[in-house]
Amino acid sequence: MSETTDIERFFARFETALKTLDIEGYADIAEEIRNHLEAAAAEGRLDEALAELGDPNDYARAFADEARIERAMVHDNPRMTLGTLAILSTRHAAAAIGLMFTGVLYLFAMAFAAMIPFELIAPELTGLWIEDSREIFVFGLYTSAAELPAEAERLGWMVIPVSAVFALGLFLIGNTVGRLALKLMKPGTSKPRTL
Amino acid sequence: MTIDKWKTQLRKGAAELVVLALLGRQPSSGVALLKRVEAFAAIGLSGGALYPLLNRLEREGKIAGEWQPREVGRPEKAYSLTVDGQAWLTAMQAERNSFDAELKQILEGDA
Repeated sequence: MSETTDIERFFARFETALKTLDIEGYADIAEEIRNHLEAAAAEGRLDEALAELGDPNDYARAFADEARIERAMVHDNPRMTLGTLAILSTRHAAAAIGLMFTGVLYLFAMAFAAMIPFELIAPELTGLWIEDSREIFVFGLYTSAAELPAEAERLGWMVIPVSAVFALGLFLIGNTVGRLALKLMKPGTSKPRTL
Repeated sequence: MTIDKWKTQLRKGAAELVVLALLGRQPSSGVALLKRVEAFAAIGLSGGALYPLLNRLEREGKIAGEWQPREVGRPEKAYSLTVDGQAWLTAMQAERNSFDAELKQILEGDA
């Protein structure tokens, strides 16, 4: 097989991967890598150069991952943080762990936030009950009055500020955990490549 | 961790400083940068690591890339250090010098 064919074979997959991953400036990246491979071929080192770049799809991801992480850190919103961690979680354990913790914290934050309108709509069904007989406590919402425990609800209207504080606190902790996970993915800690 | 993995981490930590230092002395294309570090086997910078690094440094505004025509062949992208990149390089070098000095003291048994 000729060297030109080897280069074209690499590029057929590399350019497709760059386009699929929606990498900004992909044409420049592709052109630069082509220059690199052609220079290596001219020196009779094409096989070595191709081996250094590795699998074209993985190599394209090396560009995409860094850009994605940067975008998520700049925009700093839950949707983008979770989306980026979800994409990276298939290849990075830290992203998978970060996604799990961040997702759970956001879910709890949403659940606490949801308590506020419920307290306004159905105050008798919303609140904190401590059932001494069963040694459990319930902070939440009952779907019908028939399910209410015998004990009195403890917080009253204070459900609103308590829920707001928990929702905000858990959201901020989730945000911090998500950003920490993204930071772990930043260059220098992302998938090691042969240097 | 094997010694090879540790060596890879060491090289990864140094790669950004190496590239910025080289570009600080002379603007270069990726191909030319690899030529310049070819003789430094321990630094071990390869094409596989260099281009994503250049791409990131350019996005971060530490280096600027410009396509330039060549007498023969396709145009090449030449990189140079930006003002921000120079400041970053100076800060990195200062940190590195302190780190190296303390590491040397520890390794020589002064601690």
